[in-house]
Amino acid sequence: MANEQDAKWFCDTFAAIRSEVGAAIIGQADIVEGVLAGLAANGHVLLEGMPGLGKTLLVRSLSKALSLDFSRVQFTPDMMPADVTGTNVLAHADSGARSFEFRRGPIFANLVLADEINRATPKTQSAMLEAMQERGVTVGGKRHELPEPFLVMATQNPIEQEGTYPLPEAQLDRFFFKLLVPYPTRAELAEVVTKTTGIEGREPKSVAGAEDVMRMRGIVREVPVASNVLDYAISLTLATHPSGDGSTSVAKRYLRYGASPRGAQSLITAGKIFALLAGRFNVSKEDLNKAYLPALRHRILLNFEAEADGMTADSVLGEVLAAVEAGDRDPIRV
Amino acid sequence: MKSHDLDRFGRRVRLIRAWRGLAVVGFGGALACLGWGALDWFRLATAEWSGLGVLFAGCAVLGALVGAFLPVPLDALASSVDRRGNLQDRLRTTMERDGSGGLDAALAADAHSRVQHLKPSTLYPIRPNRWHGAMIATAILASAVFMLGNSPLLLSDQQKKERDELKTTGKTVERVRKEFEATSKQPSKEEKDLAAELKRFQKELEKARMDKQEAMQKANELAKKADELTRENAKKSEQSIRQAMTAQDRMAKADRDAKETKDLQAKLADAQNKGQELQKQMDALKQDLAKQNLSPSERAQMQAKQSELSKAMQENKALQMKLSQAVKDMIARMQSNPLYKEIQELAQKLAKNADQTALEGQPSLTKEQLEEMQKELEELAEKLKDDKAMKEYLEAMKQALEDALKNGAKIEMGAGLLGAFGLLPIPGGVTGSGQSNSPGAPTQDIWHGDSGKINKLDKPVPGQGKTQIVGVTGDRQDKGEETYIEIRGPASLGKRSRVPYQQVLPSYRRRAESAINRQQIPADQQKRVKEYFESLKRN
Repeated sequence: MANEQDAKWFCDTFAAIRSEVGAAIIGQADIVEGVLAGLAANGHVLLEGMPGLGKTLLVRSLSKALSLDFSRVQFTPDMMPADVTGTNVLAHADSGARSFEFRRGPIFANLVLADEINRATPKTQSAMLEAMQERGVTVGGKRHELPEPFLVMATQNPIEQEGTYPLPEAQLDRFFFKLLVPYPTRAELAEVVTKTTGIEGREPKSVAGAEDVMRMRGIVREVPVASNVLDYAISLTLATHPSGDGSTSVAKRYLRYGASPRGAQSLITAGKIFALLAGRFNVSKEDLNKAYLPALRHRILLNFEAEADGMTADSVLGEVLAAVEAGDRDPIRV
Repeated sequence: MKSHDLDRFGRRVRLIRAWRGLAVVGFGGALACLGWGALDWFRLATAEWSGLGVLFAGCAVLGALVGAFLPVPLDALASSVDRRGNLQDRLRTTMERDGSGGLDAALAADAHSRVQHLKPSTLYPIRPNRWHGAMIATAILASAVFMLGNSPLLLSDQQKKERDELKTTGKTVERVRKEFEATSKQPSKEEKDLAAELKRFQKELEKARMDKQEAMQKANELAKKADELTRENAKKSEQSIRQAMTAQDRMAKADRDAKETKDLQAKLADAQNKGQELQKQMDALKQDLAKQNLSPSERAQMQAKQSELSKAMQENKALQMKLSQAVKDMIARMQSNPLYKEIQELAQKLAKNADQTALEGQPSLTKEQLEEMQKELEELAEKLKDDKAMKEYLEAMKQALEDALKNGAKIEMGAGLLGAFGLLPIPGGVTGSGQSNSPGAPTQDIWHGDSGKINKLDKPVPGQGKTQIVGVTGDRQDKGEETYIEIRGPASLGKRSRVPYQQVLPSYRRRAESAINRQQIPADQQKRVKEYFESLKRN
């Protein structure tokens, strides 16, 4: 059972990892925090951003800071599922005997970077996402467990949509967070250029291991949530539905589908992490508000009107959040 | 963190709610005052500063009380303090935890330390809000409407003058009304209505809500009503006085009759005394005559005296018999008088009224009334000594009964009226319903009369009945005969019986027979007792 010291250890460890990763990544503090939150929440993260914003560097730095295995898969349309999961190959023994042997694919790592996942065919995407969900792969009738901790960071390129296969909603729902990697600011860009064109900086040090990650996940689960906060999370989720109780006018106008129950789960879990990071022992509504966009932006489906009006998932969710917050009044009216 | 950490916030919330409730309900009260003031302006209602003030203040106080005593749920209070104190749901989460979680203790300590630094007055400041503004604005508006409606500012000089006159008149009406209320200690409904109407009129005059002509018209109406009321009261008073005078006349007549009766009684007593004296002389003379040593002359003288005494005694007896016969004759004459029947019917109607009165729990006759009635009954025979007197008396009784019925007379209406009923030998009794507690009371319109001589009793036998017999006792001889006059009539005295006499007659008869068998009744009286019950049996 976690106690105050465990909570403090969580904060310190999280800060140490962030610090090490931050040493390699200039700026992108929210992205780093989001990825680490996904790791602590036992979820996967979908990163969407322009090429060259340091996504690979982020994962690599993270693996170094955590002393975890790292692999990268660059998805292309001709990639087969076996290229991801691995396959049975005919092996020749020294004695001359031949047998099938499972050769693990790149997914067998603690940290997997699925680069441009939307370029893979749905079949390959499906194999990848199934492995993400099941935490294992089955080849030739035999199941192979993936290592723990296991974190997939998939990336998407918001441009160059030709020849891509957008992830279906059911598969997007399996990502804990969807993080939008912003373009660096002027100062950040200058620092990036300076750092990467000069003498190589120091590599991230290992400050935690797999066991630490597992411990962090255990601590997160023990953070208490008040009933009104839970109710608020439910309201935030239901407010994205275009119909039903708690639906908002924005959702009715711009959304085809609302967030699934996984969305509410992600909200609460992320809220717990943010609470611990804030030095609190309880989840607050502010934590949920902070987790709202990364946890739900990939779980809603805009309708044609939203696209016609130039609405994005974030803008719609922003309005939904504002509506729910406005409805959440002080219970003591004076 | 414990729930009592929130107590001070709870008290503050109650205070704030009282402050808000005062404004909200006070606003309602101000709106009501505004409406009332507007109605007052348009003369559809009458408003006063005091009434408006009470309404407004009452609403404000009511709102404050309701706000102060509304329940404050702890969980809601915790959420509110979290929100206002920026505690990020620490309090609410702590309130819901039972302490079993690993982080619960740390959470409680954290919440407690943070809530200690919060001041309720900071979180819940007392300041006027929109409700207070609305309340004050509406109250000012209501005051303005009321003042304008009652202000002479918009009136011409002539109207102002009339207004002043009306106000002066209003003060006069107020004085009259107060005098009227002061004089009527137990006002009737009509008087109360008139007083209320006067009060309304006074208020309308004071507020000058009518022109002079209207005021005059209204004043005339009220004066007419007051006049009618006065006349009715005077009529009632006159009627009461007349009744009192009638009763007084009747009492005076009864007094006269009683005086005549006393005279007759005195005469009768004289006759009886004289008879006794004669008897004594006769006895003495007989004893003297029985002596042997009398000379013939003395004996002859004594025999002559004896003869005179005997004659005197016979005359005396004849006088007594004559008086008895006079009573019997009077009764017979009264029964044969056509007025008597009418009086009986009236009396029966009145008896029903009396029964109803008794059922309603009204008081019955007093002992003094009963004694008075008995006396009057005993003197009845003497009163009705001649036709003229009897006719006059019966007519007076008839008039009294008619008056009594007309006025809805009840049994307690007065001893005078009851005395009048008691004087009448009405079968069934005036106050009864045909039955009496007297076992021998006839129920028919028949009076039984008898007279004769009986042996004197050694000592008076006290009556066993409930009727209290009041008679004049005097010296009497222990032996010899005495004259009796018996008049049997309906019992109009005593407490009324509700048992038909036929039901009790066998029992009383058996008791009488038993008393005769045990020799408890003197031999001379036994015959009378037997005859009495025989007569009842016949009836």
